[in-house]
Amino acid sequence: MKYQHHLTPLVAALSLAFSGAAIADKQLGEVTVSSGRAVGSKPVLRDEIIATESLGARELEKTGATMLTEALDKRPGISMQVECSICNVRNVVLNNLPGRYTTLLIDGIPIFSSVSTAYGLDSVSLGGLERIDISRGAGTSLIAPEALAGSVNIVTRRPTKDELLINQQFGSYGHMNTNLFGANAFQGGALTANFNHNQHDTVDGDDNRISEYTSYKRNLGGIGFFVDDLGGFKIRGRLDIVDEKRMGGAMGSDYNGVKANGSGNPFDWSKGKNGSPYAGGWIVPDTGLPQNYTDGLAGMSEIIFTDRKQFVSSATHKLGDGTMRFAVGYAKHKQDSFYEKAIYKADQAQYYLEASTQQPLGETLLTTGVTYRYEDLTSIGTDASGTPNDGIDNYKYRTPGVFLQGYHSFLEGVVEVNGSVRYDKHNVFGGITSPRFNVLWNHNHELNSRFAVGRGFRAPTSFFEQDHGILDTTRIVRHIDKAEISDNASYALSYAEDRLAWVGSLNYNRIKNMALLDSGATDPLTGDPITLFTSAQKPVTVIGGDLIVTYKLTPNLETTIAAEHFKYDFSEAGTLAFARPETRAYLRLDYESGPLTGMLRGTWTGPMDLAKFYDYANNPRYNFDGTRKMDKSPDYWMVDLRGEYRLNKQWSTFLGVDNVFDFKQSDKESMLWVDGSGAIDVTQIWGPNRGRFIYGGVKFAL
Amino acid sequence: MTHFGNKALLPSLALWAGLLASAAVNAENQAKTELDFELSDGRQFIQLSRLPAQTTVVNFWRADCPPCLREMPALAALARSGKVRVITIALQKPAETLSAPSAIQAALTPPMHVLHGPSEPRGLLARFGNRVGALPHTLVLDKQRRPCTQRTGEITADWLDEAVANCAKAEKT
Repeated sequence: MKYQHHLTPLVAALSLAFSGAAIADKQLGEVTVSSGRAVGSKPVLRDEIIATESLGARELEKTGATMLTEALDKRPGISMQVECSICNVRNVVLNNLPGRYTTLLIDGIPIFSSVSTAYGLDSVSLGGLERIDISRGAGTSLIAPEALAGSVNIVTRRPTKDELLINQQFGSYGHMNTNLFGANAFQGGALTANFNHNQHDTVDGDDNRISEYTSYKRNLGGIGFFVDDLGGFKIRGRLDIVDEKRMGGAMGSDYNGVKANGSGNPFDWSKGKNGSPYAGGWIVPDTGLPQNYTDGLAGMSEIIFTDRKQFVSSATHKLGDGTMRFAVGYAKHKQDSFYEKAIYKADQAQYYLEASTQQPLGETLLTTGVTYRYEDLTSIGTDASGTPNDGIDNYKYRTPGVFLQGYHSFLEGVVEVNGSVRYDKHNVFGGITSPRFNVLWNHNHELNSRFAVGRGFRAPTSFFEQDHGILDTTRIVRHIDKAEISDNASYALSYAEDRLAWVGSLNYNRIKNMALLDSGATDPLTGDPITLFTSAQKPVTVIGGDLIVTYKLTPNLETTIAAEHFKYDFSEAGTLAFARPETRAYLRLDYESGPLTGMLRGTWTGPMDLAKFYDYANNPRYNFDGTRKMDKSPDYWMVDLRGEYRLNKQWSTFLGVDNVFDFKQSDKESMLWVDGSGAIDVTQIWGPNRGRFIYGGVKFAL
Repeated sequence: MTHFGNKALLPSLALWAGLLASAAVNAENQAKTELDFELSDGRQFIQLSRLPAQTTVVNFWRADCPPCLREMPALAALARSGKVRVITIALQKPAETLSAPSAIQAALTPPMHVLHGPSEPRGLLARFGNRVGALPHTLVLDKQRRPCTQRTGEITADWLDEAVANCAKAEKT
């Protein structure tokens, strides 16, 4: 018996590090690979980003997602959280930690900030993607230490042939989504172009004329380039341009009309669950007296225009027995926003530079490199009374860093170990060391364990950390001199055979110095409202576990059953500022037979301790009729289904329904609330902000 | 407020330690193992061990892997020759493999056995000698379903002929 070309992990690492779909045309020693990432080999400890989950393009398509936040939602350990009922800030939440701790990367390059993720996550195109890698835990990313909860890496697909893909979708609530993707593959490279137009009307589920789901009109365009050999360099890159307009609160999309309508009461406060006894305003809980609303459409509306340009590129070259890599990222992000009469215009620039090399040293694969990150923000604006507060949250961060990673496999690849450390010198928060350590043990072909510990740090910015707090005060008083620090440990046991696969994981996260914004403070000298920017005194701990079981029931039908459970240990209000459940459960069926594919999924969300997360003890919340808000949210199911039929090789048609049973929070409790003095806010959020959504369309592929 | 950090870590660490201890015991010598799988051909599950005993070429591929596509005609020709059984296992969903060129679709017809791997193919690949998941990957199995030879990387008709011949020779000896 003869075995040829036994592929050791180290040989594979080097080959894969310098691979791609196009380079696969060449023999690399004894190995040829299909794509930049080997199939079915996760987790891969040699990588700079250790993916714990990976979603391919086909999986993204099957969910009917038209934007990144939809694509990642409703998965164990991963969810999408809406944090404002009238502007629909959406965050990708990993391990139920705050969304700002999730770092977004494009082709491994971190080029998003708290400003750009606030509304920018919705504006990440899904066209031309190969996959999305999700890394849960601070110990998973060598190049994004600020990813305290984990990272989401969007990987662009390198076309190997000419392509034209068109996807036209229409849906409820005036939804329309158009995706165009074209690729020209030539000898030694490829060029791509993509365009996306996505629009949706405002949705008002309780008829009070105040939306829970914002309207948006979004245009995304981009080009990509791939060069396989330019002076020995393999180069790839992409340029993306985003233009988005969204509005919530007032219905429709008459932005100027809404901004100009600043008096009177255009709303009906008596509508919806526990609505006011009268249409013109609400009951002040402390006094029991009515309070009229007089601020017009503008007083309850948020209008945000986003203009973003981003460029990322990387170049890889063989160096000795290994490789060297250069990466560059640039983003220019502008936000022109109107928050309930306050004006906020932000202008941000971000740069990212990286030079690294990966070299074998004996049986160890070493990766070392330097990075430089630049991020600034300048803003101008006025508070709701018209008082200027220009530069209220300006900052300029410069962070040079150096990293070293060692990867070694033992026992012919049975055990893989990855240890790394990076040191960053932050211009405000000083030097910070963040180590991580990962072990993968292949117990047998089907069963493996992964253990990871790591530390991450994040320099807090005062933009949108928790709330719109900074926007309606005259200045920010900073009492913060420590970076947020996360210590993370996780263990995953996974099993994969031909029909059955399961993975169970435990995650421990402890975050120190969590940034807090308190917009309710008062300047002791002038009496003006101010925002205090401080650090939490006590750490926040989130511990979770999840189990995912997938079984192929028949040759055409696969089922997935999953559950997750989390415990939250925190004592300071504002640290975990939005409600999250302790338990979620998932059931999914995937069908594929000939030209027909179908997906049915149900997501059960357990009750949330609203009193604890929303700090009722110090700040009780009330409905418009003066009654108290619910202490616990009800549990609920969300059921989605989608079917697709392939008419021929070029044409397909699809039909889907999200939230089949039309469950929405506004049927049970309004997302709006008032405090004891009658001041209104928009953040009582625990459930879906949109009911049943029906969509359908056609796809064309050439 | 409860403090549960250490308590929650203990079961994890205990589990970890137990698994480490058992790992060496579970390590397999693949070279002596009779290989098997149970995979879908779109209509039924096909179990390798239930097929008639015959020398078999097993090839793992994807439609977005150029060398996988390039070697497919050679595999189809071998299947048509009737000398051995040829099984291709696509590590993609059926709809995804439709992006392969028409010539490849034509090659993926009987007598070739066309199967699809599981959504999580790690265990299957590792069992068939490909722990890192590189493609294409091809094995020649003898009549007892034991691997004679394997190659990770593009194969040619000559390599296939030689591998099949060597496998037959080894069985006779």
